[in-house]
Amino acid sequence: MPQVYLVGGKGGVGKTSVSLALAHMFAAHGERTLWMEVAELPRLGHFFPGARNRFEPAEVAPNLFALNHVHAEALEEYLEIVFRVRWLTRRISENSVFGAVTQALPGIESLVLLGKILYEAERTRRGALYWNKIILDSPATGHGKQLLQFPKAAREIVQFGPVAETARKIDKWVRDPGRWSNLLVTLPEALPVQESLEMQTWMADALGYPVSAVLLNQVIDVTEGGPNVPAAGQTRVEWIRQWQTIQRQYGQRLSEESAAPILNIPVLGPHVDERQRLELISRFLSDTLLNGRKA
Amino acid sequence: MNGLQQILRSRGVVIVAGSGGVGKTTVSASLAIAGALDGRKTLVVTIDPAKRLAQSLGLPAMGHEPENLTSNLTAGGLKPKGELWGMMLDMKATLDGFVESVVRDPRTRDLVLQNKIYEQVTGSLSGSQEYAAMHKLHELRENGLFDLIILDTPPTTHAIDFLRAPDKLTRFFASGVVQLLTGSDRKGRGGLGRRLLQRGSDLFLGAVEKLTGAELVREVTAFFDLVQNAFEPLSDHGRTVEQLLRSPDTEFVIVCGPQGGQVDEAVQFFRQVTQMGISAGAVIVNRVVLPTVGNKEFKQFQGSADPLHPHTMLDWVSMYEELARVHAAHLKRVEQDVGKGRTFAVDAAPRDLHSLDGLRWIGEQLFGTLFK
Repeated sequence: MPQVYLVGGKGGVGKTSVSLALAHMFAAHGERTLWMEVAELPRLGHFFPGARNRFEPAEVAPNLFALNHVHAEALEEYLEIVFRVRWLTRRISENSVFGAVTQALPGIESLVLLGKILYEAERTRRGALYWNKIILDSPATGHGKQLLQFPKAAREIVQFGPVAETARKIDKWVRDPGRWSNLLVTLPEALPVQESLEMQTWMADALGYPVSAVLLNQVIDVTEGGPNVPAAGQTRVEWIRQWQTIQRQYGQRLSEESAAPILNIPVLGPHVDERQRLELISRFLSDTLLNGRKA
Repeated sequence: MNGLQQILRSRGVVIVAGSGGVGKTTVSASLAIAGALDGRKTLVVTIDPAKRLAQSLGLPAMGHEPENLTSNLTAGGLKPKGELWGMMLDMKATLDGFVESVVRDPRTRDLVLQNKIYEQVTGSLSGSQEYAAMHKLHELRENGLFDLIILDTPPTTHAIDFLRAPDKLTRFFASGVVQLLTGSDRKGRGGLGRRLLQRGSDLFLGAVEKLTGAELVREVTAFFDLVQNAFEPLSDHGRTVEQLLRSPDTEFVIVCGPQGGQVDEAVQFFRQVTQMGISAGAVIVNRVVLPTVGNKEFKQFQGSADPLHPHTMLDWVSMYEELARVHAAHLKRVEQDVGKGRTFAVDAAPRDLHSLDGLRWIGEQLFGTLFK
């Protein structure tokens, strides 16, 4: 199974909760797992109250580690690796010329993020890989497309030096379905489904292998034949039925046109808090993905 | 007439801000339709809308120049007293247009536009997209062709990025960094300036070269060398744009989703904007589950024995009525912070909003009788 999972999708579909639930799932199965978010306003604290948003991996649950990737800090870390001399890298990174120039370099943020993932993926301890699983909650804009485009774009501009080397290495990694998996989160609505289908096509073309799965979030699934709903609830019943119709329509479109298998993730009500929801979805993913049962 | 309608009647520019995925584009389109219905010559400027939205506004594809869409409203049964126009912002074209307006020498202008990495640098420079939006807005305002312009902002992660971005960009060029890089002083002279700076900047440029490969640094430096004089007006332009933001004629409208975190962010942005001396007129909470008439009948939803297994219809009804109460509490939070007259909700209705009918429905939620 792959080591690295990129969880992409348009803004607002639930990438953060789903990617974190996936990470939680692996951790619960005994895999040492690193979950990464890239956020100016980190969301980790919503799920693990009290957890601090740190640049270094911090354990938030057994086997589950989280970090918030901050470009400036990661760049400094990258420099240390390239230059190997601490005081020099500090002087360099604090220099405004350097800061300004690197800010303008095309794809620099993607480079640094991908470089960071690679670095973590290759870490070993006592001869074995340190992380069994690495899950990236893709930055909100771009679905991860910008990220995956980077290695090719970089090769067109940069021929030599550490960046070029890193770009080549990253390129090999992302193209290897044995090491890397791409997942998309979407909603059973017009625009999200449209975009996830487009994204699948793009990814298959760009990387040479298909998206592993589409996670269809917020699905309303009604068990028929339950107790009668009193008259006071009929307006809501009608509302729910209409949503079901819409969801069915776009869910159908997705299943007809999607090359990747689809997993329906149910709506969970307001009676569960974020942490409980995380654990429930983690359990759901475990039942459906790891025990061989399909939703 | 409510607060939103008042804004549309009295302002010249309405900027619709919010995170990606909250429904900004549909709300912007709806506001524009309201302006047109109310008698104003209104232009909606959107950023990269889905093709379906373009279709619902009557365009097979969005053009980069304003197009008259009023006939689409009348064909749809509405009675606009004014006009509706629409266009899609093309960042590249806008930035090219900006270069063209600022670089007077045609040869230099061509060199800039054809520079191998011009597109990449403008694409990657943080703030470019936002800058393009503000530049276009300024241009449109100057032309004076429209009574009201509704700007749909780019889907940045957080609304505050939109305000900070152009400043970042102008500071970058005005900071003297460009001069440092190219080894000349502000007036473009080499010589003493270069010699003084040489020693300092070489170490750092060397570091960047080692990091990225000499070729790229040379390309970027060549680009900056080319534009350093041409971009001097950038900081002046930045000030003009800032004036536009702070003008009493400009109003921010913030769109967010109904969840606690989103509502908090919207309120935070509202406060930040106001503190900056910029007018924020409304917070529109989108996709709110509104309580139905029978809400009180469905007391606390306890949840079924196993929340993962599909619920019965009764469970779902109870759950959504509970969710409606939660959303109502979030709405109240917004009202308490920004004021009841400035808080608006759009129902999470089970309908396709990317049609004139859908936009009309949003309009009815926000403006009531105007859309009937």
